[in-house]
Amino acid sequence: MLALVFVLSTVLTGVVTDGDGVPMPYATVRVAGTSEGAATDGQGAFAFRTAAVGSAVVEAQFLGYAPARRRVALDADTVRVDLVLREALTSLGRAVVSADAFTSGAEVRGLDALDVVTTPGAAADLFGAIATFPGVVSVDKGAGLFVRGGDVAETAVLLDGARLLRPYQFESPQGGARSSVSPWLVRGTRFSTGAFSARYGDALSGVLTLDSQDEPATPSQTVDLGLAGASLGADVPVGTGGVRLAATQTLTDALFAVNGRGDAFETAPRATAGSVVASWPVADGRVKAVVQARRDALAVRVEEPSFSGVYESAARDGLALVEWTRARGRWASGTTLSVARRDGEQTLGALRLRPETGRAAVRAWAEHEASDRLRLHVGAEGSLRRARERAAIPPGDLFDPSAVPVEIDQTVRGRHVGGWAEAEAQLSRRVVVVGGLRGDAHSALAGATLDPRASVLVALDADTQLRLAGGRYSQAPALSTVARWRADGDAPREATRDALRAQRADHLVAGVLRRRGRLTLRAEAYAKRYRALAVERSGVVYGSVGTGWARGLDLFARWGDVASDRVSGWTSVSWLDARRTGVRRDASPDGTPTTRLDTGRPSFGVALSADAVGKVRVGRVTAALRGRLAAGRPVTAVERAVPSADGDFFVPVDGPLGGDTLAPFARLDASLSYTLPVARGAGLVLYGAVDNLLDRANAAGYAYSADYAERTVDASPFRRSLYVGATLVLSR
Amino acid sequence: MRFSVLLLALVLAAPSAAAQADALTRARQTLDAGTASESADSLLAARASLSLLADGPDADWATYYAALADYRLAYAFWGADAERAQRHAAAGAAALEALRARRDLAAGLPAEAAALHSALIGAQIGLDGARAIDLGPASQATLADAVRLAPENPRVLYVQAVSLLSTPPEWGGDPDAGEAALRRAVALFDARDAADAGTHAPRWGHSEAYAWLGMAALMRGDADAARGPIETAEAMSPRSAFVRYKLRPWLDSLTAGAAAAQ
Repeated sequence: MLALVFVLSTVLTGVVTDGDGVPMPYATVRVAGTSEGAATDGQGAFAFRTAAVGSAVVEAQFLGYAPARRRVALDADTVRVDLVLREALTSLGRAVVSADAFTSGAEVRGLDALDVVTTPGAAADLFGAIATFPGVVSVDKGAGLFVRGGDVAETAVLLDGARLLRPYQFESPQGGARSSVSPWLVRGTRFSTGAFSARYGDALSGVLTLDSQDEPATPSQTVDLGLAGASLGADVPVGTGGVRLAATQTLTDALFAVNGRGDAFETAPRATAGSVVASWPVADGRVKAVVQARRDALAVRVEEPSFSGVYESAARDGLALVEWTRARGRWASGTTLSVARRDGEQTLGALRLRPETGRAAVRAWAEHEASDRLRLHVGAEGSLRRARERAAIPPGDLFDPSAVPVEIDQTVRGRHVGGWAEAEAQLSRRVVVVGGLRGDAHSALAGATLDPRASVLVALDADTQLRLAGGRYSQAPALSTVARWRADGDAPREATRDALRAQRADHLVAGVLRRRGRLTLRAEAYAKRYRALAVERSGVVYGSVGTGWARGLDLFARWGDVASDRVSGWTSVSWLDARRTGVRRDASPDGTPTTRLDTGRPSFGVALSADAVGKVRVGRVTAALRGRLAAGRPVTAVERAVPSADGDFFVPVDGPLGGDTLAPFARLDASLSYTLPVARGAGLVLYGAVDNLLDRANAAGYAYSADYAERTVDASPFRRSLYVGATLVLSR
Repeated sequence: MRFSVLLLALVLAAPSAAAQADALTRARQTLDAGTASESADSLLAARASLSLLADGPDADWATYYAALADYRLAYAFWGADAERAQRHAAAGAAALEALRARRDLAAGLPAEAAALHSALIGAQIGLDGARAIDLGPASQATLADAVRLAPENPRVLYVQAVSLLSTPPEWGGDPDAGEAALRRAVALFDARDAADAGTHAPRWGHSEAYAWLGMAALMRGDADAARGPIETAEAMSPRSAFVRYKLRPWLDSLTAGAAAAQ
């Protein structure tokens, strides 16, 4: 019988090569589903005998390359089969986008949790650390990602492909005090500050994509206790997958009391948050589920010439998503389903806003490596959204004590569908070109958008790349804005249009990147032009009447890595010149508050800013210092005031938008941590930070006398403050 | 003639357990030769051969040795192609993670696999320091598993020692404890290597333990204490780049410095 097998068996011979035709030594070649096979020799050749009859699938494998398979007919004693291996789209089990020419911008891939928690002044906050990179305007506290002259709402934040309804905690016009995503939940970040890929839509200025952690390899527990609260975490491997659990209670009373500012808030910021990340490897990919929920609240006293009251803010939000990613051969794909909900209430005097928002969304993409030089990417996304806007909005000046609020209770439902296609072609060894087209349609808005985008990457040498990218970017006004627009039929509409439209920005970016050893240098110039911006102030929507522009230069240098180098850090310098449409307060001769549209410098259009972060490890101690210098923030000053009709108060009249500039900003932050191994697999980290080390009183804005005749400079409430805490980590 | 054909058929068409064992032995020999000569080609050839044996009767050991080939390849490509080195370290670690999840492994293999797994995770961290955050606890826990399973296994002690010596003190490193573990390891290697001869049990790590013992002495500036272990490592692995290009020049420089000081 065995002899018969031998007689009937076939010898398979051939050569395995790579995409360039170069032989691949030491690849393995098998008949799929059997143990019959051989390794290729130094010339990529192989020969082995198979007992299969009829036909067989022959498979070649080599680490870092996608398996190559061919079905062959076994119709002769010796059958030749040559196989070509191509570099895998995936590496180390993760999706890797190669030669992505859209990574121009202050792309900060590589910012990890350790970078975040050891960055002074960032308060262990992801956005706080990202704000140290160029292109993000950050003066004083606040986690808002104001990118290159763009408002905070112009940056999309995606977690595992699902857009976050609420990326910030303790929301304010400045974005919020902290990000809503823990740095320890995140495996990697990518942040683009301009001219980004067609894969991302509904964002005018920037995109931050966050990838949650995969399944834990080992069980561990974390307990953190600090002046601002406590958190618990647990990593639980389950079979081939695992679950990561986290719960955080933020209570800042002790923090403010210790720093002598117990009276800073009527209700000190507090928050409760929990998250579960479950991740399981499946055939050729991974399925991941993320559920997170949080609620937060604060109350702070506001003093204005015509108003004294308390601003109160409370919010709740929840997100659940499931992501399925796959990579097989030359194909990779991903699908994310998500549902998100948020509601909250903000009150200030007669103003009361009670927004509720919900969204169910799906996003799917596929990528195909058509050849060694061509990669295709297509995708689509859709969402159903609902926004209910219940509000009481005083018309005219927010602080007008005589204003009778306009009551709004408007519900808007909207559908969004979008799709994109992108091709990445390597034209030569040194040149990669990417072209993409993106289309979006929002049922709540008039018309659809079609956004072409393109990018060219030229490798000048092994370490240096030149990048040029540009395109059109569209973003729908928030559904709550649409709700207010529809409800507010009597609002002033100087440039009245029939409907709100998608906002638009055109980007052009040119930059150079040089990486050599542990040093990275980047310089990038950009220009951005805005059209159809939805202009809104104090809950009043003026329509798609805004225009603007921004231009600037970002410089960045980074050396070393805090985990592996004793000395590491980065520094960034940004120059920015921006203008955009805003609303100026005015008054009629009889003292009735009015408004008018104007174009000027936005408050986040800081002309020049520099940020430097340095970290040093000495023994068990890690010390870090961060210095910030910035030109003053633009402010719109009140140039005069008119007595109100009843003579009870004065109606302010604004000067040019952003016509004044506050004094330059400077701040020094420091942090120190000490690691103490408690036992094998257990460690205690003691840490402390001092923000605004020199206790500098930076200017925050103007304060006025009741008749606006006298003006003083308000100092920032963020003076020198101390934070201490301890983290205990236990792993099996 | 007919008998010869039948015999050939036995070997080629239906590989027996003995043939598989021979193949495993040959692949191990290729791996040892590749390690001794620091030849990436030999190591790749060994890895390919071992991968093909991963479906056979000695699949578990073949998987282990393929991962050992990945470990060697990670170091072979370390300076020249960090991405490729990282691929091998990650592939070896993933293979051992899957292997260790099984409960029916041969005696001795769980501890050996845990030790090598920890070393491969350590290599991933060494290649990309930022990964200490997510891989550091896994490396420590895996090593703790190995120590729990076989505290007197010389390779477990060796991997533990390298971890203690190469981890910064603030992250749990302890050079003194590392050197003590190396002394214990080299003492155990001699007896263990002889006992394991002719079995599938691993025999790697002996010369490396001597080299790291020399390194530990060099780290505390003791050229006299370093000389013996380094010379032993040189004798056992004359082509070791680690010894030739790192330890030997360091020792010579330390010795020259001490002489100049006198």
